[in-house]
Amino acid sequence: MNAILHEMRDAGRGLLAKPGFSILVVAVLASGLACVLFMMVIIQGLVIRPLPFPAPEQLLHIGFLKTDRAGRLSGVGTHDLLAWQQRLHEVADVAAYQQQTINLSDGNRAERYAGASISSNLLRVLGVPAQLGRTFADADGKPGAETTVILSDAVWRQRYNADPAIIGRLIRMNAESARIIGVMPADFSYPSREMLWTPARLDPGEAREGDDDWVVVARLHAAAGMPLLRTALDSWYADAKAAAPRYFEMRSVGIEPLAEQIISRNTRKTFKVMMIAVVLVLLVACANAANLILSRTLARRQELAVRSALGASRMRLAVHLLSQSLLLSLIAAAVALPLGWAAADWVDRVFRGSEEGPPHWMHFGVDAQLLGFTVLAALLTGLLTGILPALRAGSDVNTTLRDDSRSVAGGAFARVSRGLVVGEVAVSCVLLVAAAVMLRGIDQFESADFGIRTGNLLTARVGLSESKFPGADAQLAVFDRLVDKLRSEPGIIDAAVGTTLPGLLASDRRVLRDGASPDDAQTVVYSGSIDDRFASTYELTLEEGRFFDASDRADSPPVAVVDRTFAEKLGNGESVLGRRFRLDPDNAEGALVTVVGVIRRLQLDDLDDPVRPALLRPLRQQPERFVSLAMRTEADPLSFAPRFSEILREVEPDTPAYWVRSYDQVMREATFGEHILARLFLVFAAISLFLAGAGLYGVIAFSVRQRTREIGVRRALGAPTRRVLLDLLARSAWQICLGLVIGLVLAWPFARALISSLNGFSADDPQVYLLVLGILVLAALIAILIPARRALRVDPLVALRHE
Amino acid sequence: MIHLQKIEKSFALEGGRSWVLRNVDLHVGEGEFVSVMGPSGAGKSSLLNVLGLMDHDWQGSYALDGVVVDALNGKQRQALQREKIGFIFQHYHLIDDLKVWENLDLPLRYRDVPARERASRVADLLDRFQIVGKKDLYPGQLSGGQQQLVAVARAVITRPKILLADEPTGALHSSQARIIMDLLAELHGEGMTIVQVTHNEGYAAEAQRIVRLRDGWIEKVEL
Repeated sequence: MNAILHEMRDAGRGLLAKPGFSILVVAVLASGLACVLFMMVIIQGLVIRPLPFPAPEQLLHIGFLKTDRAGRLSGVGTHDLLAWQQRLHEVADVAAYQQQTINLSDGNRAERYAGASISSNLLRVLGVPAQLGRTFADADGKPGAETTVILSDAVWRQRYNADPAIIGRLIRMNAESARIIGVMPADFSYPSREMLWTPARLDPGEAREGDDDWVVVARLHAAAGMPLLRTALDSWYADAKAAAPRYFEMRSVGIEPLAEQIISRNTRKTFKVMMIAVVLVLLVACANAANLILSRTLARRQELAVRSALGASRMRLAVHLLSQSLLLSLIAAAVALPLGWAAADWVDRVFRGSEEGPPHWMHFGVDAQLLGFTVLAALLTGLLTGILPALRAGSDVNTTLRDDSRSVAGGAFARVSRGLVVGEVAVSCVLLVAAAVMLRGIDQFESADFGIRTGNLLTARVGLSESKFPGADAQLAVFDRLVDKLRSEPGIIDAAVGTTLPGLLASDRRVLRDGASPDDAQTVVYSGSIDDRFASTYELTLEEGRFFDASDRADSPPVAVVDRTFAEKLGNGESVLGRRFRLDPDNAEGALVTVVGVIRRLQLDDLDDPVRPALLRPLRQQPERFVSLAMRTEADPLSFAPRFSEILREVEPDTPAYWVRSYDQVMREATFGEHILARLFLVFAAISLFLAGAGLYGVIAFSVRQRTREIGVRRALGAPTRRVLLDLLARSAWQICLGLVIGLVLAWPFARALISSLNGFSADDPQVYLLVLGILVLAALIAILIPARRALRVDPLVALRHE
Repeated sequence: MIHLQKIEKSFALEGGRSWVLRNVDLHVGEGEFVSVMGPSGAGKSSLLNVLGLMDHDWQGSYALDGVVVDALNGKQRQALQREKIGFIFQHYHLIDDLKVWENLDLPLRYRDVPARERASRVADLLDRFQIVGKKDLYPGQLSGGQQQLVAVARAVITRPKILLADEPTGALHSSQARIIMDLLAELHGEGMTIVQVTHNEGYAAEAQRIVRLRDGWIEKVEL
């Protein structure tokens, strides 16, 4: 132990004596470690850290597995939710929620909040008590019970100034009176960033064909196990399928840990690929540092030989060299910690500023566990970088002590060193391809044609309260008044409302040609209801027929406008104009619509959702109380946002607008995750490229230094500069070529794995690979030419005197 | 003290072997001072490497202070070397990052000598070699002669029975070389066995015997 401490101290002094070398190695290792630490902070926050509820392993998500939803569990209807609560009560407590918008308009300000309608037992199932008042009792969810609400800590503090007497107060919620019964603890929000909770009124008489809107959360009883739950669900499923075979034809029941419902399996997979990426960056850093340490060891070989002659055993020398690399990597870890922390903090802030981020209770920070991980990673890194020099320690002692031994030791070290460079180039190639594939995908997203004109559009979402505006007529009247007022404003070219926001929001529906058997294959389309100004505001291109107009009343024959994709898919080569289609054929009330217009291809839903046909209906015939407003402005759309809020207040003071954003902002939000992913990969790839370039430079510079005398002799013999340069390039070319070949072979499957959960991305674009090849070859050329040119500038006579 | 019998060392080369040492028989008694001379490539350094147990790739028989070296494995050889031998090199080979006293301390550390004893032996030698004032300097801050003085002190601090010196004055000017030779004579006077390789006839003559090598053979031994 004493000896180890002594070697550590000795190694520390050696590092202080060569500050340039030490700083370089620390910088190299710290960049790799910071990447890994950063990724671990994110992964631990999102995936590893358990849900903040008691016994989180007992919490499950149960839902329907639909054959067209690629493994994602979807919600269930009230009918089946109640059946599960009844059938599973011996093995699990079953609760559910629906996310909803809640408008508070008590006092003198109307504000829109993200909220949730939750079954009265949900908070009990999660195991979270209120910090003030109580959570819901079963009686709160009974039909006819007084409307109650639970506030989040943030709403209690910000809207009600943390009034300790808030419990029991009546407030105005969704334009009706509601009583506050509880305030949740500070860190609580569920399922995501909800701030208000209302009790769901579950109607046992509701038909099964209603929407599958309930997300089901179950807590497995401690005494029961998964097999019991599975058996109980299977038994229910068999009965339910026998009773409604058509409904369950495309549905089965799936169970997953609740944590996987919050961070999906696809996201987890993406993080795994990213973790591999950062480990690759760390490996490049290790290879680089090993190279630097090898070079340094080579420079110190005489000193090591002397130590050996003075009685140091090979083990002792190995400990000496390992101490050095361990010390360097521990210092690197100390540098990496704040860097990784700062990067994670940046992501945390970006997440919190976005609507697409994770729930508020997810935290990203360095805790004792991560600190331990970092120290372990640093020790491992130190071992990886120090093991090669340590293994060679103490060899060739007698030859090393002679002055003419330089080239003998150099040869063995140089071989290892060159091998490391091949690895660095290969890994950089993999990471650069991954980054380029991501960036190309993002670029395609941003330049995608949605079938609308995207410039100068202000968008917002509003939801009218059902209690204040019961019935479609009252709701449509508000929307008409609002649009008319907006259109009369200076600076507004046009304005419209619709349930859809192209490229972001749409509902999916099933469609069947009129006359086809209900058993025929149904087509899933994206659909939305729009007013008469929608087409002109978004500047849709009409190809056949007409847009909606005043003649399409609520009581006139149902009509639809479809896009070119619809016409091609369901027209069987003929025009669909005037043809009729049945919407939601499984639903007895599904409308039979006549196509009155065909527009150019229109992308209604997210770009990363599958491409599907689009079908639009008049809002009058298919009314909704939640709509997206669109305003085509003459100038910067965001400059109109304050005036828009004023107009909305004038038209409907109880209804706040939310998501007031320009269309460009909407699109940025829509590709938020991909943007972050691409940016991270770009950073990883840039670090890796820098490391590979620096590694190559280090090896070439060292080799050139070793050969300064030889270069001098060659030049004294009359070799032209170009010839010497070409010779140096040729010696390095094979390393770069081999690294590139290995890198390209590995890059393709890696990039495919990375984008496997992202629609619209491709890893097969040859341009991406050519670009990466170009960048790496250029970086390699620079790394070779700088030291080579420096050696060539040395006077041959000086070079010949060089030892 | 040193008994070499029929020591041979060679390298395999394309078209035959290159001989470095041929049929070397050499006996050095305890407390004897021997100089090894010869032209470049005669095998002087190779012989010193064999004697210093830094090279084990040879044929023949070697007994050091009664221990048959050719029967030892690597570890045993290193243990024997640690116990019996001290080295002085032409280019001093002090550790640049260590102060003078730490350079002296290093061989003792490698032998796991307790701290108190190490401190005492370092202090003794600093006094004896009159380099107390230099003890906190780094090798780079010393002249060549001072560095070699430290190197000799470092070689003897472990109290070896044999001191092997490879051209100890080769890099020094005459006044500094004189100091080193006087020091070797003093150590010899105290009973230390010394084998030095040198090109300097005058310094070689200060030993009790001169062994002249040529092409790996012992050409002659002069008394």
